[in-house]
Amino acid sequence: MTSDALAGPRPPHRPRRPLGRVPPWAVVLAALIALALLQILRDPSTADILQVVRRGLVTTVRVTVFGFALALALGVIAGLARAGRGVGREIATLYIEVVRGVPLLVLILWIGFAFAPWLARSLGEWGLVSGCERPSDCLPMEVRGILGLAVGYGAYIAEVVRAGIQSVDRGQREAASSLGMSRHQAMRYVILPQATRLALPPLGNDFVALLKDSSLVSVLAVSELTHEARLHISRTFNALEVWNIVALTYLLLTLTASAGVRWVERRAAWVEDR
Amino acid sequence: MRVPAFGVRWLSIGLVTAFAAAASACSFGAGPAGYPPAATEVPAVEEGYPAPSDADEEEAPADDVSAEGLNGRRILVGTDAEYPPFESVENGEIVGFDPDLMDMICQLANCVPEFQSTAWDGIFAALAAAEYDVLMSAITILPERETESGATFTDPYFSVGQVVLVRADETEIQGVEDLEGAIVGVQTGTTGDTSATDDAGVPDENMQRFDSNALAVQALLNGDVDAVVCDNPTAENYVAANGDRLMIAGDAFTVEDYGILVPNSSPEVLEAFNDAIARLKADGLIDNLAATWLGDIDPE
Repeated sequence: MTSDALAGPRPPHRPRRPLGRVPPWAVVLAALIALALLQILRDPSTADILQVVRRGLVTTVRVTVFGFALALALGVIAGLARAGRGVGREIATLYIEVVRGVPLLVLILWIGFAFAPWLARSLGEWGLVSGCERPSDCLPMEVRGILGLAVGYGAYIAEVVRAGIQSVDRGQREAASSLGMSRHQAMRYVILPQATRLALPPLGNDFVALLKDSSLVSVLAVSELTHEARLHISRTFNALEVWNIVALTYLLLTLTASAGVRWVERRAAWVEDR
Repeated sequence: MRVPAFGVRWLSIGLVTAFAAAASACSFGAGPAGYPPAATEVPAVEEGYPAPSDADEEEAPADDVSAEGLNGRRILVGTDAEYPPFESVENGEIVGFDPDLMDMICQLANCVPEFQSTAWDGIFAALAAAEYDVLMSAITILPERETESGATFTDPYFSVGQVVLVRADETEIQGVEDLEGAIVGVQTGTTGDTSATDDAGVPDENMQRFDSNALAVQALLNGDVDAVVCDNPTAENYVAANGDRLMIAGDAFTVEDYGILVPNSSPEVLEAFNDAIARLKADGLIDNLAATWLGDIDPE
């Protein structure tokens, strides 16, 4: 770790700790997790529960990744529209205000049980799709869950994007135009690169939050981690052991995600420093 | 920040209003998916079970153990009040077969019941943690539930069977034996869930497990699942609430008994409840109550 610190282009004034970049809180956390793991591994029911976790985890990760990708796309479009003017701004504002005013659980239930079946039926009636006997053949519950998460988080991400754009100093825009850049060029080469860096930390927050909220799609009978856990508990009744492991699994997931987010932030800062 | 002009603000308010109107006007397929029978039906208990003291002496014989009974103790009853007609919330109150029966039991056992709604998930752990005095939530008597909650079931107070609920226009599914290849909706962890997988042999990938029967029935109405497995009073209730859109396919394929879970630490409650249930059964009052709440179904 010392060699890359010396070779790297990081500024030399950063304080160095004995454990390098690992902060004290992470050491304590790692110790706690190790302790919990020891306890869990001793328990005879762990093997069964890990099977359950493995099954649910795949779905949780899939829902999170697709949900966030879609939310990011929605959020960037709505955020850009909201930072601009005209009809786009009105539509984006309407979307953001409506979606932020509805609890995510209600939004997911509404999309899962009202909007998606209606959409599937209507598409069938208009002849746009065929061969879906059940609405769930065309729009599976998991897709509805992903859609619900994406629509919900898209609104929050849109505000993050807008805030990022608007917090770039006014002078940057003026400087760009005095260099003869068009509005579009100024946005593309001056505003957005800076806005992206500003938006990264809150976006990372949203990713971690979406990961946790992915448990909400269990109301649509999607077998993600929480759903599998509840099913297992209803059969074996060992609630304590299952929730311990499930909570720890979520914690490990979010810690990994946070570490990833921090790495991306550092990369962005590094590019800036250079 | 630019303050939006008045016109723009009113435009967005108008748009939201229009959206709301459109959303409420469109019927997205659902009727009221599940509500207990109309509130106008007067449950039998309001006619009053004769209190042990002032009843005519022949009907209330000398078993006056229960006259003192539980000394007017308050009994906190844990229930998952999303299971009409057994228990559901109407106008903020928990109503249904179970609350009415508990009132009658408590009249005999001299206690004051207070129902509190909780989620089905974790309901047994909650009793083990002494968060409730008893559980009454259309709970099928299963030994592992006693172990889990550190409690004992009373004698059965009612019996039901699992049935297959389908849409009224269903032609292929005529009964439990036709569930092969069908997508089946259930409430997670109920006996409907276990009997669909164990007794009816529905493979796991064809099971859709919802948080409540109401959501499973909604999925059925939406066409997302082909059948719902639940017990017959519940199924009858959904058929009644949704008019001609649902029907029951075939006969009940299981028999199960409902009981009240009483913690092992309060044997006096268990005894008082069992005495009361025996008397209510003997007097035909549970059948009357069933007729009020469950209509003309025959509990196997």
